[in-house]
Amino acid sequence: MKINLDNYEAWMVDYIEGNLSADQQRELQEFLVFHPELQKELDAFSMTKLPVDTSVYYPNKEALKQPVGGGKIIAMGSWKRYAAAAAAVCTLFIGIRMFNGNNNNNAIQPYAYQRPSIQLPNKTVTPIAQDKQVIPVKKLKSVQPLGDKNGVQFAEDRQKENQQHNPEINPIQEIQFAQSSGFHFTSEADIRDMINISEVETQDVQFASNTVYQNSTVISLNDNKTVVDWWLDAQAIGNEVEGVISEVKDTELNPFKRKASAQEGVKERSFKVPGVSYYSRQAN
Amino acid sequence: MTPQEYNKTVDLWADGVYRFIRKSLNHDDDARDVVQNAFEILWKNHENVQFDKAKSYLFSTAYHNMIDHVRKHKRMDYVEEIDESAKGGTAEAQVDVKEMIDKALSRLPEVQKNCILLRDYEGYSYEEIGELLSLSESQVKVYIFRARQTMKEYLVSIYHLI
Repeated sequence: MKINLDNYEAWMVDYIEGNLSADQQRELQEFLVFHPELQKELDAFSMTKLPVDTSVYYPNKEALKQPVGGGKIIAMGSWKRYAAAAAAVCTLFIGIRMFNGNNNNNAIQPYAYQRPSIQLPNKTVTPIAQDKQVIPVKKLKSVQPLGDKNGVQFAEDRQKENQQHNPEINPIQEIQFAQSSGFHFTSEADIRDMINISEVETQDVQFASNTVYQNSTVISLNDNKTVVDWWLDAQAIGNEVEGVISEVKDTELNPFKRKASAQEGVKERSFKVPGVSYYSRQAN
Repeated sequence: MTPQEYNKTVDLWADGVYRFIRKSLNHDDDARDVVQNAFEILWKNHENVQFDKAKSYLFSTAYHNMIDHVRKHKRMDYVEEIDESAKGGTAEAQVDVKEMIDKALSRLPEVQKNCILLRDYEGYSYEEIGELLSLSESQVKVYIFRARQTMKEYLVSIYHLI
């Protein structure tokens, strides 16, 4: 697909990920000639490629090592290190004197350190072709209810939904459900995105189900500008997502009943599947 | 894997796995505990782990340790909000770029952050990240795209102020 104003971000990410061919890189550069205002976005994307932070390193690697011949290697405190070093020097000195005394004709050969050869695993970055396949959605695990008022409400809503809908999530049915609820998915990408997201959501819900507090993920679809947010407490969501997710008008579709944080001039659309909620908005 | 190879694993990857966990947990002591525990597990199983698989075994073990640790301690860093005072256009010119990028990173959902850390710090392919984090390749790609997009938007919003 040619680069355009709708997909240039994906191109830019592919560029910094090293996934563009030489021709595609040229195409991106030509595009920027006609849209110089987007250069700063590419610069900002380039900044998201993290340099390795060498100021962070494991402080005491020796303590992790194991003996090769028996007895664990124990990291020594600094004074012990100095004492050991001093003892080693003394021993070496005495050894040299004795050695020289007995074998005056033999010169001592200096010890030559040889760096061990280390076979690093091959790491290749493989560009991934656009996945055109519809990915099957996993079945959700049950989620423990929250302990607070909202959580109980949430759990009750979810229970009702599960009674109303087939608990087996079928992407096609869900799309039909969403469409029958007034939400339209006009492109294959939307549908694919939705299905991918439901896997993401499923995993996060599974992860959260073992915790005391409920973790969850809100997916906000904004065409190419999809934002995934994570929050720990349904009550906190209005603050956590800082307006990305805004109030859903139809409370039946909004089990969280969160505070409104909608921005003006934003159209909203929303749909949900049993146990998983999706909210999306589209800027005018 | 021999004990020598295990020790080589420590030399080669202790820093990398610690960096990944430390950046993800945002806590020195906890990260150290998680990494130490991962190496203990690797040592216990060193006879069954091939040296060429040791790195992914280590990262995977550390990652799962980290999840268990978070569950056990019920600690999760909240996403940092954009500094409200900075929205007024009074941001100082001397914004530390590294600090800004760290902030952008800290705003990401955990799974996106982990994908980015493994990708950028360790150079893992999408497939390898997927294996480590139990995700599909396409999910990893989508997460990385969204992570960079979120970070980019944050950075652009900050740059507008400078």
